[in-house]
Amino acid sequence: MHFCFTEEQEKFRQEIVDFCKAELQEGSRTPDLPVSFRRKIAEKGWIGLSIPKEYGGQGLGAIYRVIFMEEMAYWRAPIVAYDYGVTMSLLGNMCLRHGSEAQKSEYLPKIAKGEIFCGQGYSEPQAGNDLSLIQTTAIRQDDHYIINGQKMWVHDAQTYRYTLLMAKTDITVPPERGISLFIIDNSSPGITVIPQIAMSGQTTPQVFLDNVLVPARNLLGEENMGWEYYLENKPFYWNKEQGAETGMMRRIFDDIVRYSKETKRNGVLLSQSAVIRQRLASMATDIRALRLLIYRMAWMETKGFDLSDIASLTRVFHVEAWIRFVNKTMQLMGLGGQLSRRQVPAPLGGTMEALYRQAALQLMQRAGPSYIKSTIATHHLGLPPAW
Amino acid sequence: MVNFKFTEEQEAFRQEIINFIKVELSGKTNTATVRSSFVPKLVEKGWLGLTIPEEYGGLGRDAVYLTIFNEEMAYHQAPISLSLYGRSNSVFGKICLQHGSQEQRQKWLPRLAQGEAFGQCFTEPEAGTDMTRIQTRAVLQGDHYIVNGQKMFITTTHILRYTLLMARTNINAPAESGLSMFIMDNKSTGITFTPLMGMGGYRTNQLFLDNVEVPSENLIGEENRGYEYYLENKPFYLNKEKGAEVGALRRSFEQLVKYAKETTRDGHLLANNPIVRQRLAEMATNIRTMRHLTYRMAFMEAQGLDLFYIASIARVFIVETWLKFNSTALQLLGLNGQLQRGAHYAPLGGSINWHYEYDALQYFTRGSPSYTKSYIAMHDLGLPEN
Repeated sequence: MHFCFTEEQEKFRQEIVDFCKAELQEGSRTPDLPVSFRRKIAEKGWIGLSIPKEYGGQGLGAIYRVIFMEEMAYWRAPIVAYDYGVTMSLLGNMCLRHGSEAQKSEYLPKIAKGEIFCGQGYSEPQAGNDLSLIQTTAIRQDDHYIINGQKMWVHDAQTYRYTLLMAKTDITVPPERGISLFIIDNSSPGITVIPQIAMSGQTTPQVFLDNVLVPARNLLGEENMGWEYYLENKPFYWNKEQGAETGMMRRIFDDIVRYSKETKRNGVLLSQSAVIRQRLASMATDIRALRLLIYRMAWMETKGFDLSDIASLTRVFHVEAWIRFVNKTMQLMGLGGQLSRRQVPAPLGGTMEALYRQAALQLMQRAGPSYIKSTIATHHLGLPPAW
Repeated sequence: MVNFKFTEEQEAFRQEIINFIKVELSGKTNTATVRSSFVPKLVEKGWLGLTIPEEYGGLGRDAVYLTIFNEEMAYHQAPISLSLYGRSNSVFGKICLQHGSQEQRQKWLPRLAQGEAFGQCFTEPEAGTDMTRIQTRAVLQGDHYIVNGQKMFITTTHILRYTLLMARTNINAPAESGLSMFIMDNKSTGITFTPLMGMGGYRTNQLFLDNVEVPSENLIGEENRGYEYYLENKPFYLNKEKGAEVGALRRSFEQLVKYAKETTRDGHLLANNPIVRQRLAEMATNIRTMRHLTYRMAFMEAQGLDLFYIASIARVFIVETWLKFNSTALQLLGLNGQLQRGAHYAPLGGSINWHYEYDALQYFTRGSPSYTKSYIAMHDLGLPEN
């Protein structure tokens, strides 16, 4: 048992912290900052930390990636850590494991430079938790596949260049067979993206695929093996935040603790209220436990261990801790908590209002606690299927 | 003897409301014309003055009738803001009736019965749950009070003409003994307000009162007794929805059950999923309990019994049930639950995610579960002050 970061890892973290402190000084947050910031972290090689050197990465273990994501989120770096997380844990991982040599050399260096992002095109109106029910078809014709169907919740179709699409290549076999994965360019003719207005002012698109021509070289791995790849990759995709979630929580928590030390309500400091002290302490406990789980998972990934068990447990704990966290934070801030960004009296700059509303989404997804618990029951505890 | 049944008159009253709604609303879409003609019809029926005594233009019925009215209006999703009228009735109406002068009662209560709503202007940046911290001053000069100060989270300033104001009239007395209540005209010179935009698009206002003149005849009851009136009124204020929340939840719940019976997910009916069944049954239990508490409270109010204890307990139960309902319903709707009104796949008309965002407010208000629990601990359980 060894629960410490190595000296190199500590040094790496310090390097990131120093970098963030230097780059994100007060007054530096201009509209141009995100572009120059992204360029600098790409130059440092931090986006492709865990991609092998021969494909333009640093060839470092998953722990480095998690340290990077955690600190970026903690320092509120002007990048969307989610974009890197989702791309790495989906196209990055799958390509590394099952991609052809040509695919690896085409996509991995671009991912490592932060040049391309890839989202997920799995769900359909009738296929949510159970993706084996998908109906989108991909029919081979010469050196192309012709794809037809409808996809739901393809969050990134509007902003990312690529989607990893799941389609049926054989409709004569049982549902979970005959499924394949394709790397799709979102600007291909025949793709129509229709945004639907969702909670907290976000949009989530449906994507219609009408005779979309995809070159056969964009098939990922082997034909009809998509379901196996999907199952194998699930642990990575579930925890695609890769440390960004703990970084963000740690930061908000530090802010909240300071807020409760400085804010008087009804003449008494919040930090002197017995109820609030209990709540802050349980938030601290949750964050520490979550952080341990995330690093434990990263460590197991570097050792090549099977992640499916720990990934499920971590995801359940993560979402439940996050929902507890936003609820407690909101209550602690009192009436001011309802105010959104740009409202002058909003505590903590109004960040929690939107986060509270967005948190609800975590309950509904395929990676939501109720669904994962049912998979834990079946696959890890060996319970018979529910009736 | 314990009797848990509605009287025949009460049943008839409920039926009358249901019939009225059928005639007025069935087959009609919720257009601006329907909305604007609906409230005048309620006024004609006298239903907006249900609990106001007959001599002040009301129907003189008791709180059980008001609860039935609110429940059915909410259940049938009638185009009327029950929270606006609820607050108006339970705060302004009650306090005016209890402590207003004969002239004030004659002047203001008939307006309430005619459908005019009245706001509430208590909270300040430094006075939220603890009203004794109010700093806004009201100084008598001739036949006017001159009011100066700042108010926060005031819901209705931009839509209503009159507001019940709480201000300090004596700065030498102990904090809770120098407050008074006034009826303030929102159009008075010296009032400026800016919007505060909250969750789910809910607007409140920040008010600055700069030498606002309030006629001394608008002081309610006696000077320096405002805090007493506020405490006395608290049980009513805490449960100002008076049945509306029960009606709304009953309706959403029925829609949710229907949805579970009709929706197949991953090849199985939701209604056949044992976890979904457990959750639906739990919701049914909570909604039924909440309805009992609400009517029990209305009954006690009608009998003139002390409401302090039951009002706090009911409030905690109602808000916790309500918020839990939203969160469980969202989970049950799956990813489609995030879609808003108008989206093709939005289940239950996209109403649940709106409620999830909007109702979070209940966490922070003076009637929030945590505050009410601390109040129960101190006042009802007699635990020592913190």
